Amino acid sequence: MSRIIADVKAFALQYMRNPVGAFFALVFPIILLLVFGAVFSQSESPEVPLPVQDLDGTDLSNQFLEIMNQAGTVEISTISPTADIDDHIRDNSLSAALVIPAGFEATAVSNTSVDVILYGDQTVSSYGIIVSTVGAAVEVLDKNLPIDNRTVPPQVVGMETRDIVTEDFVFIDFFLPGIIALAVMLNCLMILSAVSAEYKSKGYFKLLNTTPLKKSEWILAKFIWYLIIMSFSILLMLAIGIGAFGVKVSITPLAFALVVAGIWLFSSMGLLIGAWAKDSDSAAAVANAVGFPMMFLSGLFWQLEMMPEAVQTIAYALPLTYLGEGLRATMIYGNDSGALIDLAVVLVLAVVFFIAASKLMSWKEK
Amino acid sequence: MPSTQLPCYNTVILKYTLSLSAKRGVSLSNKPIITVTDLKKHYGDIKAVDGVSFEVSPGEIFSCLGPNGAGKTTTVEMMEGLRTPTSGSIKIFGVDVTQDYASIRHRVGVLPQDFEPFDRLKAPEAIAYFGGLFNKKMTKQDVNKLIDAVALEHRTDSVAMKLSGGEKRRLGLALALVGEPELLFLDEPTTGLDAQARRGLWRLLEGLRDEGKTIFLTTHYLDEAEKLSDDVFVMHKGKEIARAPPLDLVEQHGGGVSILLRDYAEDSTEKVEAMGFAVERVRNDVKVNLGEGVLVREAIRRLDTSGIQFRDLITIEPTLEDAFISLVGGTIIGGELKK
Repeated sequence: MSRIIADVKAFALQYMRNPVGAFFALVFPIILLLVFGAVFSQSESPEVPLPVQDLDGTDLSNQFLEIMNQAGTVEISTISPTADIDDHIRDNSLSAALVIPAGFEATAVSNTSVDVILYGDQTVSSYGIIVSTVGAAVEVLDKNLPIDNRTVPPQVVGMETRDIVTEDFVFIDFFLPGIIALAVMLNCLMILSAVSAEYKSKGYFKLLNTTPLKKSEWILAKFIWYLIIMSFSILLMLAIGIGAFGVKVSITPLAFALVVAGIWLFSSMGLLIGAWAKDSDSAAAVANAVGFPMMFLSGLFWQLEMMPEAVQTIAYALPLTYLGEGLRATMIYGNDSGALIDLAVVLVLAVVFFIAASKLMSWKEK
Repeated sequence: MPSTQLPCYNTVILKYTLSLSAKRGVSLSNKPIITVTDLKKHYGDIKAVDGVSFEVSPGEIFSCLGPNGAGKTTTVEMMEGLRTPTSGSIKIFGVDVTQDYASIRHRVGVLPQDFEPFDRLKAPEAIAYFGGLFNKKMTKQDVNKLIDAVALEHRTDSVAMKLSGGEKRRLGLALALVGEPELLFLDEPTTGLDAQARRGLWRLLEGLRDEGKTIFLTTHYLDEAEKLSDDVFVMHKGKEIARAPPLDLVEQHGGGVSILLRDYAEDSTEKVEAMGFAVERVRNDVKVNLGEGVLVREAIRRLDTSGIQFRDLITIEPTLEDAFISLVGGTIIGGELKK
């Protein structure tokens, strides 16, 4: 254990004296938080995702969906008619969903009042867009109903709203888990890949191999260091998020588990790249090529549902997606069952990359 | 080992060795610390090391001498457990290092050829770090002692990346010493250092030998091997060329003592040759090679009384370089073999 502690201490000194390491750990996430916080706390998304459960499946319900589609303000996706809507909302951490009840057409054409049900989080800024869109579509549909003598004033078709989330979340809350995931990825993947390649090219591994320090102890020391520095970085992010933007998120044991698993996963990926690369420059190039697309495609800054389907498919092949989604599920939506699945994916990937990195990383000369 | 050619001369060497050994508290009867037998390292058709064998006794400085590409570093890195031999055996402290280097790692200090200190650690921090790796609780005094030993006390506030080449090598030596090793592997420790820094490091190594540490040194500096070594192992193209104490190598292969006649008369060369000596003109001087079996005093008397005109006379002892040229067919300049 003393060897591991010695290595953590020495690495910490080198890490904090390297401006790149300190920048990615402490400054860059804060810059992102401030920039995205300033931008997205005031702005709206042009197309808001709206999952719809059509329990009627008639011409009238299809006509209703078509009217909403034409509005161009919501992006409609389908919820299976057999799904329990409450479970589905919770399990998928949805901030809005629409249900068209069974018998919708039959009730309406019989001149009897019928409502679509809009589930939504009123504190989410996009909720207003959804309410307006659904409300307008209801009005258009109602006016075009083939009814001669209306007995139900003023509208046959109406809209009932139900709250999903009771917590007082704001839009910036959505970003904080994403930025935590991003900070974990940047520090572990990008920095450790360069560090590991530098250790190889400068002969540090060779030198350490002449001491009693084992490879496994060196790797464990890196995990411990990243756990320490990332804990500090996350605390800093929370402090600034709360202080500057009034962020309200839950710090759950599952969030902690996800951060630990994420450190393991992205450190292993960093070590793998470092073991493969010839020097720190080529390691940085590969890490950037892997890390930067992942940063923008993993739904850290916007919801996955807002991205084109092809991009969504790519996103679900990226490990960072599961870390970001898992953190968001447990820290914002309280959806621990969903977060557990994300944690399982992150852990499985961590094991795979860890084994690959351990096998490829050699402290011996050929 | 020459044992019969010049018994008187060898007696002197033996006395010198005994005196050193007594000073170091080391017994000559000690078993070898290192035993290398028929060691080979092949990379496809390239035979980097091709069947070398040697033993290193406790308390000696053993130099592996050869030009770049001779196989020195490959040999020492196999002994350090950093490379796996193609075949052969290496026993250090009686342990087969190809099977279980880990069990002797704490008894060995290593300064690799391409040593780079951790750029952003200061010398005391690096030493404390290595202390931790060797499970040694190092006090500030312990750290300062090592800093003083390698003469880095004036650079304790500088991170390693700001140290000069010589200072980095000295820090590397300090790191190799942290675990208080019985055996030190120093792979070209003075390469790239200026003359003053090299001599400083030599004094340090001699001090370590006097403390009883065994030092396995690789070098391409002939003067370094001659000055420091108790034993020299000459390698070329992966093979052993010779192995003996430096004075023995010089004696066997150095070509004997020469006399330099300064500012000799133009017509003197033939006269000297007529006396049966080999002659080599060196600018305005003439170098007279005495060859084996000729006493220097007798040669000087004959030259002095021959009537040959010269301003002065200097005797030149053969060096390890002369022996190396004789053995390998060239000398080493800048690490490369020059014919």
